[in-house]
Amino acid sequence: MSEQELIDAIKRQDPHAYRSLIDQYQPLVLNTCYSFVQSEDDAKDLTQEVFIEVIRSIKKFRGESKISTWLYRMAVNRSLNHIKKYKRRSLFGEVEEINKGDFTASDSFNADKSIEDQERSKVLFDAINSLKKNQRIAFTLHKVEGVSYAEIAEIMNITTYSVESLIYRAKSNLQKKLLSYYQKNMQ
Amino acid sequence: MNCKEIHNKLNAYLESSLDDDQLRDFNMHLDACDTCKKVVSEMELTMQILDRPVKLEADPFMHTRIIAELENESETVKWKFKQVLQPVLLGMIILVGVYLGIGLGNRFYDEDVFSNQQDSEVNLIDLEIDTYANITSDIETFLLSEE
Ligand SMILES: [Zn+2]
Repeated sequence: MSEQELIDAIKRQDPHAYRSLIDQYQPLVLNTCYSFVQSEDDAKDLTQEVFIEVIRSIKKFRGESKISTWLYRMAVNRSLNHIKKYKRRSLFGEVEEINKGDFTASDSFNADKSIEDQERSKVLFDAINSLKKNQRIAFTLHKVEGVSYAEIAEIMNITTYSVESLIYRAKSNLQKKLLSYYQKNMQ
Repeated sequence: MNCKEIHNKLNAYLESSLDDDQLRDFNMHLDACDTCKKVVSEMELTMQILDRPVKLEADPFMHTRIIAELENESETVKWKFKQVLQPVLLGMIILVGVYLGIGLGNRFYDEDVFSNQQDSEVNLIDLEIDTYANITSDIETFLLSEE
């Protein structure tokens, strides 16, 4: 089934088409949400919300971009809103928009990790979350999700050059933040 | 190299972009400075987390839950119409009916007083009112008979 055929079938409210869409794109949506929120349960809830929103608003989809681009956008927006709702004090200064709760051993991300590595993950994702929003989106999509610069450009509606520059700045700011954190906490 | 230079060169070190001489100096400082050694090692271990991102397994029941949720939602919409919109519509129709009734009554009263002058006008209005009344009762019948 082509993308257009799939969309047409969803517009006709065909449940088989819903299933095709979900089966085909669940890994993309789930892992994108997870790369932002870092909690498996929250990522699953958000994924469900994203698909429900997509199916509900399918009439608005004009096919000017790929379904995947649309899904990435929704996944990023939902995840960032979710993080905003569960602000807590970050390791990196001011109150940051950060994932709900701390990392726990029950998270599959951390299940096979040592306490030290869990702590490092927490430090790392706190630092990423304290980056400027655009840097954070570009960096997370690229570094954690492995999305290409060209696709990030489409998702964020900016040029590939801007994506490169955002990721470069994100990485350099991230290293600065981590360096100053470890300098303070290593004495 | 001193500690400050280590910090400045750290990004390049982590990206493996130091040349041989710089790398030698960098490592020489780390051998001599415990603090920098610890910091650099932590930085490396932390940044390495990004090189092995965890992929979640797709949830095999995701589509079942979503389709159930969507069906549930459309049921809710129907329910809302029956429970909320239908009585509101009925109420509005009754109000219109009452209003028309009062209007009609007044017309007949007027007609008694000015019967001679207003014959043609009254007939015309009667016609209009009849039409309204028919439509109204049609809708009422429709709404009440629905299920
Ligand atoms: Zn040093």
